[in-house]
Amino acid sequence: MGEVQTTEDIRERWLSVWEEAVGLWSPYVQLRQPLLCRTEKEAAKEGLSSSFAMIRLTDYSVVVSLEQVKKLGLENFPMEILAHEAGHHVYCPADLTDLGRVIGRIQNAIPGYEQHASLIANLYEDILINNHLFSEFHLKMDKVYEKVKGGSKDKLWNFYMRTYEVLWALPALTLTEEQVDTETEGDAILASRVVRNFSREWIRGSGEFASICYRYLLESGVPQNRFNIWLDSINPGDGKTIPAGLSGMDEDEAGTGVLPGELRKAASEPSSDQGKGSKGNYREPYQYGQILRAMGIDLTEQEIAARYYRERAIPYLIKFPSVEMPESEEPLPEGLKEWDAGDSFESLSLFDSLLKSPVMIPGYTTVERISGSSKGKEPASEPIDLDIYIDSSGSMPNPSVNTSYLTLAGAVICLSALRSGSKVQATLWSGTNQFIKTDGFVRNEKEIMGILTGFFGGATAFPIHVMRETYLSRKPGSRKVHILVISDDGVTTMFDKDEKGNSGKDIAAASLKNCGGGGTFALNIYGMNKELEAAQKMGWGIYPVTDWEELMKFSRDFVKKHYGRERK
Amino acid sequence: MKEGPSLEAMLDRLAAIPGDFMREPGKKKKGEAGLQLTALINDLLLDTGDLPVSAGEIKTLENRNEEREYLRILSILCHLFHDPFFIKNRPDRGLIRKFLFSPKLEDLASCAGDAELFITDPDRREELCRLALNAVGLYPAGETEKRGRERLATLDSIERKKILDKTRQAQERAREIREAMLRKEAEEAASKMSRE
Repeated sequence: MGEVQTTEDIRERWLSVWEEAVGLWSPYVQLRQPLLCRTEKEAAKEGLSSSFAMIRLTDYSVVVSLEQVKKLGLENFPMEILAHEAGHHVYCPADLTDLGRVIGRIQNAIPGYEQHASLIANLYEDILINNHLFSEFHLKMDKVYEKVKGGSKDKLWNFYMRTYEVLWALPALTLTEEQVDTETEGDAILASRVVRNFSREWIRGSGEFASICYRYLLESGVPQNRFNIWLDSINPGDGKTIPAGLSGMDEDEAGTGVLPGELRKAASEPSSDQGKGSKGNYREPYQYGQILRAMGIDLTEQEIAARYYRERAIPYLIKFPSVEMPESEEPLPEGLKEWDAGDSFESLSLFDSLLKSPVMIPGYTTVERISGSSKGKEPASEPIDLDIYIDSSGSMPNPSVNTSYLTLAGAVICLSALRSGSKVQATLWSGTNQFIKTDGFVRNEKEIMGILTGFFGGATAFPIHVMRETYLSRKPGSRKVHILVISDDGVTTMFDKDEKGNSGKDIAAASLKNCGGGGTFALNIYGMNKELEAAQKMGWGIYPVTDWEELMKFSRDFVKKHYGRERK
Repeated sequence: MKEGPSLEAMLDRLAAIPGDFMREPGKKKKGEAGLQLTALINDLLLDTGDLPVSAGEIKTLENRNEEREYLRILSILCHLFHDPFFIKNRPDRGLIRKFLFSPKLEDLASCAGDAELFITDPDRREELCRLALNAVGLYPAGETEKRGRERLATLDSIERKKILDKTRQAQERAREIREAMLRKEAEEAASKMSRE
């Protein structure tokens, strides 16, 4: 290939090998054609700046900058590079959740250098993919690195290149810039063994690989820019999509790696934390945030916390209560009307449309049924709304940093309420005038979760005025509401005087009466005091919860215990 | 190395192991005889063209009476090597014997924890089959010697144990370096403070 190739020639040649490159991984996998950018401007528009290629896991695409490829002299390696990029989609990381799991393990292995976890993950994935392509398909992966070799004496990079040399039995200095010392040689041998041995369970091996790299991170400090051209899967998300399943940890993640037998044993023996909120199997919110940030996800701390608690709450969602109404309404068929392509597909009546014409033309021969309603015999049910007050005073943990079981319980109950059609008013409170709340009763999950995951950490003063404004002018016949207060003994500030000098006791009693759905205190207390006994007499259900983790149990039992009439 | 039976045939044989081979070796329960492992090994060696179990080997097995998982792996291997392929094609004399009494199997038993994993877990099943073939100088039919070795490397529990031990050492080393760096930083900060 001595002759000069134009970008268009390269593009055509690269596109022609794409299917074969994907087929190396599996004949059944179909990936969209790669975006081969002709100019750097085009590449930058696709988000490719420092590297010559990258993947996006959100739309399963591969982007290559042909300009960069030419500059680096890699135009004659289309199969090697495209098969490598396809490997990121098919083998590792393949999806964002697995990438997150790998980053979590790597961060555990490199304390103090967590920000470099995605770099190590990229290096680890690359070596696994390259080794597979080199040993199984004899692709010239070594030549690609050899071509771009040039001048870097970064310790981490030299160790990494030496690992390739050991793995592929290449003479020293083929890829490395200088002779490595004995210790690095030992590390490279060990890393190559990790790559071979963990190639099937590559997620498990990521922590081991990172442990070996850690020393070089410590010695190099900030890895050099040399890495940048190779970082093709460092931020494969779109910066917004949060993969599911990252709030939990793998059984063997916290340790330094286990053998298959130990893993089986760990899986069969429930941890002592299970059943109490399973603290041992979940990351803390700050760790969850660290992983997301390393994956390039650009969300606020509160958005990340909201996502964390949502994910943890979902397995515990409960059937929220509803009250029986005297009669239901039954649909009464009233005829047909035209169904157009923009209407919802569920409403299309295929039967009636085919009766009208055997040839279906949307908007012309398609119809939907219209119906009114008549009084039915079965009683209907109406969901009870929820008014939740969460204590966020100084004695409570910050939910964005450490797991707050109050927030988690609040999330379980609020999401359950939303799922059954209820509206929720959420109020996070601490000292006087320190409160945030939703704009009345809403069904906006994001807004509610935003309130739940907020934090004040101040004094304790129940927002009596919120309760007063919500219930004292409530119209008779309004939808019933259940009031739930999650707090500790600070809840008794509810019975203090409000800012207008009204008695909190009177407001609480009137609110309980007007809400129509009852009221509950879930409290972290070890015993009742006189004020709480008075509240109980007033009609508040009081559930002492001596351990925050027991709040989870409380939230599950909440409906059954309080209503006793849960619909079957 | 020579080409052996197909891996699939080996895996199928292992998956369909009769329950008798998984009985407690050597012990007797109410009305049920325990597994006579010595007899099993003796039959295997004779059927594959080797000499009978020696008095020294019997003694070795008796001494390891308490190593339950090791003995169960031996029992599983007896079934695996009793395949018509090995009886017909007789591996080089002494190789099966050497493998059965090698310390490698003890290591394997300690890595797996439960010998039943070699029946129930697909990866461990494949590991034992590949290990057995490799021990008698064979590689699976349809593969090359190199590929057979590489695939065994991806499953090797003993190798994994060694890797885990080594990476723990690497972690320890890195931890020491980090502590030394932090100590140095603290000392420098302290000396700077005292100068000021």
